[in-house]
Amino acid sequence: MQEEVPMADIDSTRFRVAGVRTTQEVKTALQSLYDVFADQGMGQATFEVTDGAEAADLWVKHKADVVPDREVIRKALASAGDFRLLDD
Amino acid sequence: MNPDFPFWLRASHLINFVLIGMLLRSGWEMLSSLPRLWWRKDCAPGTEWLRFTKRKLPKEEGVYTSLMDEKSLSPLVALPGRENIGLGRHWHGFSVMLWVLNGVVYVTLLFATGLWRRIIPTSWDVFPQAWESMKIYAGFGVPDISHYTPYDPLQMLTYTAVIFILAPLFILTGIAMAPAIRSRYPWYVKFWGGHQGARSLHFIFMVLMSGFIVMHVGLVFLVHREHNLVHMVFGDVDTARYAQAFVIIIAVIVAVVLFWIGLSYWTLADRPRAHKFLVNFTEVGRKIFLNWMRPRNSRLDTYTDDDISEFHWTNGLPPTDEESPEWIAAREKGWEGYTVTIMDDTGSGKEKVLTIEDLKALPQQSYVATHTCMQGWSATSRWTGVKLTDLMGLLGDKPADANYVLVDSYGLAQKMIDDRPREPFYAVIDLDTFAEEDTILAYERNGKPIPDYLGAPARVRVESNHGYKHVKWVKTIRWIKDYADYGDGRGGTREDSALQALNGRI
Repeated sequence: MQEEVPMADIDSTRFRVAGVRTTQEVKTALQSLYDVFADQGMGQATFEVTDGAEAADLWVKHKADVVPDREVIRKALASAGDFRLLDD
Repeated sequence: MNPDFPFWLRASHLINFVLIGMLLRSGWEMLSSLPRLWWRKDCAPGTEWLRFTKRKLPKEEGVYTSLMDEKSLSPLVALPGRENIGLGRHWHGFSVMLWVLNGVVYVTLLFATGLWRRIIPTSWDVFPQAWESMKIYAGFGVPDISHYTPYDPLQMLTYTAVIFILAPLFILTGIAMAPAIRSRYPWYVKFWGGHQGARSLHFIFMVLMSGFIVMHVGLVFLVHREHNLVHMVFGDVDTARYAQAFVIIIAVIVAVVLFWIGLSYWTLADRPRAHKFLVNFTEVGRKIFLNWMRPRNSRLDTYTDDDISEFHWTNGLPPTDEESPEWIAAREKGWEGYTVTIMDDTGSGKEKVLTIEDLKALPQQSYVATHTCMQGWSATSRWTGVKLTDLMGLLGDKPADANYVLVDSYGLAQKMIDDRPREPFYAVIDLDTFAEEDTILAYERNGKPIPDYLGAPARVRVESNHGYKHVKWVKTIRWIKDYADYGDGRGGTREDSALQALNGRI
């Protein structure tokens, strides 16, 4: 057993986002998300785009004790382009 | 034709103009990837002396990544623009190789032809004379044409400073940011104030060079332009051809600017194509100047435990449950059940499964080294682990067909080039790099277990290379024949997605 090094546990949450399809759209959406993520305790974000799928998956890594605020994400995406956060 | 303005001089001047623009534009692409500058031995957010971003990332480690700090520049401004740090770095390398070559030819011919005498001052009188010129310019006046033989004292001092001081300083601070040089000659990097000192100085030199260019080009058109333009275009002193020279100069400037922008769009149109072209070209420079440098952190005391950084950025956060339930399960049990598998993927099928305790039973390697990310941040730590050569030696002799070692992770890539669902993070290292004594599988940082966000419980360290080769949360290490058979075929996740070079020595 090794000594435990205290640090924030990281969890991830998946969102579904319509309108994000191309590499440039992914970059545009991420730029907008990263403008607000730190204030929310949210870190790394990744879009996974699958050909033919209705929406892209947005994986957000965040502190385990943080519940990602959908409204913050929705607003950030909407401000960047025609990107819509879908219901689960 | 005047012998003072021979063809080689005018040609090298034009080539320099083209290349300096490519250097500046690709440099801005790199700066936009981490638009902050430090003088410190770490890069904690909020401690920078200059930043070009409004984003304020907290200092809490292991939650926010440096990729969150990346900004996007227009292809009209940067080369290539739109968050392409890998390609920006390659364009910088491509341009600098040609720029240095052009500079060497220019300086050689300058001395061979004796033309150096009209640029390099040979009398202390140049200083009071330059001061007189300065006063005239400050009063929005123009020194009489008789001051120019062909350059006035202020030009002589400025050109000498730019060519023989500023340009070499650019090169010296640029190479100080190469991991190959840092791991071989750490004293050299320390001389510049460490990686961040070299990066900040490189930025300041860029500002000085940009200022010089604006002033230089401005004065060409404002001060006796009927002479300057004819000198540059025709190498002549007959001002009767001024109008012709003016038209040609404007046309050339427009063409060069369009060429710069065209390079950006050519790059963005097919990024893997640009990667292949640029990496093949720049690899020549890496092979000649860097590949022979072997790290020796473990034998030097240039960096000690006193140099250890307080803050360490990361790129990529630890695996989560949907990425690797086995890594999560092992972490919950204090790494009981965590394994690293070493194997031969060249045909024999040999493999061995090792625990952390097995790793610790092998001969230990420990040293203080500075980690640098291609984005620009750095952090110094003491790393302890087992040499990869000792580890892979447990499988017996290197298989005859093995040409590379591939390391993959329990974690997934942060991003794929086409944004398809993520695949496991991996990196490939060549056999020479594999054999370096500072290429290890580390299980301790600063004398303690590696924190989760920095690769717990075991990560690779390849000190002669940038951080994208240092796989965290290691799952397997294997002999392979050819990296083209894995991933997108470019030799690693960051090579595939961010179009970095397989050889990460600069």
